[in-house]
Amino acid sequence: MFLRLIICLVCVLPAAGCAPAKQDTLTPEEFASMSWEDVVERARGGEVNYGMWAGDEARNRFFQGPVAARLKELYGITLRIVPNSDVAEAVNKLLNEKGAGRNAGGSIDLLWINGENFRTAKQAGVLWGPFAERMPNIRYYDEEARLRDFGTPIDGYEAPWLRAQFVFAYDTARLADPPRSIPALRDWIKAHPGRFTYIAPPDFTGSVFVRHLLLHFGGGAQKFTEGFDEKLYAKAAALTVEYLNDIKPYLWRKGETYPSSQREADRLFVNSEIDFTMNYGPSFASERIARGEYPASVRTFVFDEGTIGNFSFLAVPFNAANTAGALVVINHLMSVELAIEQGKALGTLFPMDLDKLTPEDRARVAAVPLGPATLSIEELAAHRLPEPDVEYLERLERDWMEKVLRR
Amino acid sequence: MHPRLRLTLMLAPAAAVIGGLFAGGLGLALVQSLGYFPPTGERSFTPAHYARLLSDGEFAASLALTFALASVATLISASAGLLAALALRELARRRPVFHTLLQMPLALPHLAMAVAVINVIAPSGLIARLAFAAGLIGEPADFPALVSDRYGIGILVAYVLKETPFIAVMTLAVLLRIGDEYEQCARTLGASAWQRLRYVTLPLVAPATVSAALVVFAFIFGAFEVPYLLGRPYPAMLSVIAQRRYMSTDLAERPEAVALAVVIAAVTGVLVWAYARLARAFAGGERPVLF
Repeated sequence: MFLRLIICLVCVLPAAGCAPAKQDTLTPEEFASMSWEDVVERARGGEVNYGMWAGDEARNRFFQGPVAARLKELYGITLRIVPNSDVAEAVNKLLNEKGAGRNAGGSIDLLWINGENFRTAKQAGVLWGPFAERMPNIRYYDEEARLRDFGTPIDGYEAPWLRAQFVFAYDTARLADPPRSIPALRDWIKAHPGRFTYIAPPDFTGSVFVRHLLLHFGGGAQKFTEGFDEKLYAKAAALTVEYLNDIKPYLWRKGETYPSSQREADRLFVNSEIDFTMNYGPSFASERIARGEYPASVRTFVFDEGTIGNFSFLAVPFNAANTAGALVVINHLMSVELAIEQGKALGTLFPMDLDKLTPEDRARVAAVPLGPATLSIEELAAHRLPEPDVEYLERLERDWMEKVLRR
Repeated sequence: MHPRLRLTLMLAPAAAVIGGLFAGGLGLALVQSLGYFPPTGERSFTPAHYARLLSDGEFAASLALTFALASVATLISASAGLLAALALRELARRRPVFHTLLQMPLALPHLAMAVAVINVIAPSGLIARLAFAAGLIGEPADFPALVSDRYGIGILVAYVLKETPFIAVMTLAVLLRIGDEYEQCARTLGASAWQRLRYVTLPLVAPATVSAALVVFAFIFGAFEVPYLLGRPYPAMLSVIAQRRYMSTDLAERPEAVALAVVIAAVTGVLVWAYARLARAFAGGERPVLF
């Protein structure tokens, strides 16, 4: 660990002295005064480095294969994937580069990001922009996706891309009727000791699970979107902590430990040690059935009062070497064509507002097959709650560690 | 060319890497942990981050756990490694292939060992499945928790399996080098088997075993991947907490994470120094082989 830290800290120093490679940077002001055709012309023939979470093989293949080929064909752009295992890594790298004064010739041209990482990056000034409102394809997206990201004002520093929503998975061969509300879940856990657990925050899936309790006990998700309210938090967090400590003795291994990652929770679920798993991707169970990792009898469900959904975004680092290329790639990733292809290849939820599409496109979207375990777009939309302000998230993660984990 | 100059020039690339990456990184870490961290607007030098660690309950629990696990794992590995070296000594002398066999686990990364341990002793592992097939347990929950468990058994198993061969190889190398003349000599003077071991063989191999154990302790104290995969979220070993805080999106936690890493480095440094002195005293003036 310590070595890695050192490498993180030091690797940016020698690089700071190097002459940057071929430069094709734009200032946000230049971009604002250019036509989109000029941007596309300027991007032609360049190379774009895409900093992407690379924890999913199918996704990596999709971007390295069909997406890269299509970008080459349309714009002559060469797409290179720069993998990260957590976008926080990439943000850390940018912070270090900024600290070392490396203001140009960065190794990443665009970044897949959202939530607290976006907040951190925006606050530290490591993002390029504003640009998002000038992307031609932003017209397909909801207003909701253009204003706030976990409560942080977007201000054009990231462009909306994908939509996600939290779901639970269970195996119909083991369990006929899963609990569909937070009180019912408590009763179920107590009636089935050892058969439920959740992933330990700050893992993002574990963190969103406990946020559902916060929204429930605070009296609804809407109250949590407009900035941080100490009184609201205190009341809702106390009830959330009470609930989690109440179920703790009935959890897997009596709550002495928790799975620390999605992968670990999946392993417990597949091994029939627990009866539920959870994920922030609504089609994850179908993908795993298709890969033979889950039995075909697995299905997903959401709470009757809804589950949290959010958007993820694309942003450009402050020191990107090829800004024009990054913008063209972002706009392509925001296209209806790519959303449909990605839905077919990876089962991702269609992210755009269906009312803003042409009737032909709507029909094409409807024709994309859903996996056997995936809920319909309509059902998910009818049960979607917004993410609370990011400050709630951080306070709850800290309180969880202090008042639930360490007790 | 003057031999001294030649030597200096030949060492320069390695020295530059160590000086730049290691010393430079350590220096940067020290500066950040003392509060110089421009992204959050902190530019002062203050011991506040260290002070906060001292009053942090998680840090105290983690420090105790880290010390306990590193000590126990080192002790078991050193004893087992020493015994293995003594037991394999004759065999290795006649058939060098055994020496080579013993070296093979050294090439296995700790990460791979941690995954292997999960696949074997976790409730979803090989042993649990065999126990289920044999009708010894009815469901996974019946199997005792051996990974992410209360006592750190999974972590200990992974480290003992990895470090025992290391200590055995270091010890065996010395045993093979010194030969058996000293013991033969003691024997002709009437020493019993126990006396030969206690007064002849052990003092001869002690520098090697102790210094190998020292390296193992220092490594376990700061290593990350094994406790990350096999430990509990709380209490966790120091390196795991440092990583978690470093990755936190709350930038204010960053200097504290770096302070934690500096503490790990400082403790390791002090231990290396203390053990080196101990080993020297133990070996009656002979320097331990690794230093």
